[in-house]
Amino acid sequence: MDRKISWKLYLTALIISIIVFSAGIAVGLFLTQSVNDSLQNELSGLRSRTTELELLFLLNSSSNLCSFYSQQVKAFDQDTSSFGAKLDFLEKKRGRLDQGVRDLKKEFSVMQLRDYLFVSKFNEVCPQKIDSLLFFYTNENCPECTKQGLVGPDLKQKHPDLMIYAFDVDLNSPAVEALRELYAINSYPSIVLNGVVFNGYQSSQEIESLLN
Amino acid sequence: MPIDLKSFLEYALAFLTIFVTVLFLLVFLKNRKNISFTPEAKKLRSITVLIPTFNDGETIKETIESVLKVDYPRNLLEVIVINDGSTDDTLEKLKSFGKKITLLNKTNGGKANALNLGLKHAKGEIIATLDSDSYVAEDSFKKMIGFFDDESVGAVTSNMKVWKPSRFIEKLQNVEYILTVFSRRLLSFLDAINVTPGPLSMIRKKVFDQIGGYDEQNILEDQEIALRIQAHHWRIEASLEAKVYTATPKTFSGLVRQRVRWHRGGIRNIVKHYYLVGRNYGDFGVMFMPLGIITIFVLFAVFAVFFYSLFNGFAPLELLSFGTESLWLGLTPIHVISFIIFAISIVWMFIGLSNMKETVSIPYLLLYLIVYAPIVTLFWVVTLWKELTRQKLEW
Repeated sequence: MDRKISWKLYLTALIISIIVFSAGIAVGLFLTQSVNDSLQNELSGLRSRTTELELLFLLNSSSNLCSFYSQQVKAFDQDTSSFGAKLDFLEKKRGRLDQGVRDLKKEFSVMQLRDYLFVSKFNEVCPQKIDSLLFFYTNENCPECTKQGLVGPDLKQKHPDLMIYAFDVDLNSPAVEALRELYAINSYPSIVLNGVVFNGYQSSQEIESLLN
Repeated sequence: MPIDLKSFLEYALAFLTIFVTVLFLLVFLKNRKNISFTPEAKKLRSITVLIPTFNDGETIKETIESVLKVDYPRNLLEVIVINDGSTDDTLEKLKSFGKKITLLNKTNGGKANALNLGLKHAKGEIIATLDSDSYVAEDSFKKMIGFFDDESVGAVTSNMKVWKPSRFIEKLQNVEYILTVFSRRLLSFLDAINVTPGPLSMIRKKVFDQIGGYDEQNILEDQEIALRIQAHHWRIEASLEAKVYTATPKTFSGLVRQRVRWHRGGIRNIVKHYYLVGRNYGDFGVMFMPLGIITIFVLFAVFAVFFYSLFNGFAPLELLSFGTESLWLGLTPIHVISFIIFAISIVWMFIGLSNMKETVSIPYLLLYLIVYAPIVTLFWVVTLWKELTRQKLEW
């Protein structure tokens, strides 16, 4: 008994589906790219501010500008933190392997390094000290890193003047590598609080006691 | 762009959904002139109506009365009611019909068992099965009988509707039934119908003689018999003009129970008739039987991965500290695809409803698409759970 088979129908449906599906993917990729572009723009803006501050400091590193610098750093930090949060959100949604996210994170890390260097120089010259905390982590098999990461926002709330810089060591970023080598970091999580290295998870209370 | 298992399954399911919807839309386009076609019967054949009943005292009277009102020559109509050991007032209600029906009493043995007893006593050329909580429209028999003029047709399905939908949940099921019946009509053009629903279907007696009666071990005997009909290469037609009104679950838990029973029965039927895949069975074997099997697997896989990632600490809720900005930030291609699926589904629903000559208000349409359909799909999770914990499958 020969029952008919509608091969042409199935082929047509398959072709149309592939076209529709591909169009959707293409639009999706285009939209994600424009999200990347807009974030790049935002990052450029943040970077310019860093450059300005650095130039200003080169021109005039006398201590009378300390309050001005301090105020700038704090204002700047707010924008940087919210941008960092956006990057984290993006990473969660797109996955760690997304190239656009990785590139943004790398550039963001470089900028964070510059900010940290600025704060270090500031602390050399100015009487009011800005506390800084470097946080090195990896996303590969490090539940302690996740735990440590959760301490950050909590700490920031209680100490809004504490500058927190987080560095993902899997980024292949020269800036992050340089910092790692500087502080001889090989285990994760590790934090550097005002230049002192602490390996392993540090609770919120422990860090707070060290600050005071 | 590297993709993990969860994303792969999401995209696979999305592609499958697009493919199936496009396929049905194409079948519609090809056959749009014949959708409501009802062949005029060249000869009116004798019909035996089989109504198995078990404790349906509330509805059985109206069911039988609707049959007795049907526009069909009385000498060509036989009504057999099989009382499957009812313990309520069903028997009294049945006796009140006297000679108008043939009453068969038996000890409780299940619907398939009851139908088989009815088959043994049936004298008609065509067997019409009717559920004891369903009411047939007056012209329904005449609208179905014409299809049997084609000797290759073994069975005809009808247009199942919800009887007087008043509750929210009934109205949503009504939308669902409209679209299901429409899909079935489209499948009939490809000889790919997979179920002859209990509420009202007609099957040639000759078919039963050839393939045997209902499977008495089966919970979904109306689907099982249809698969066996396919196995013997009989054609199954669908009538949109023959209407039957049936009662549907009125509570959410009732709905879950009904659907899980359907799913679990469906799985067993697919396993029993696994061989119905391949060119021997035409469009049914090449496309629709495989699609049914693949869909179940993909659904299970999607749910498994979803729950696995849930238990492994993937926080599904993020701090929406960015407000609407997070919608924009979190965009991935799958969101665009989901939107496309949504748009295609709206088109499909619109086409289905207008060709079924039904109107549904826009709020109900959106509610159906956005709330009801996804939730009903989630019932597969309950199905999976019940299968994995090997719970007994019963009425």
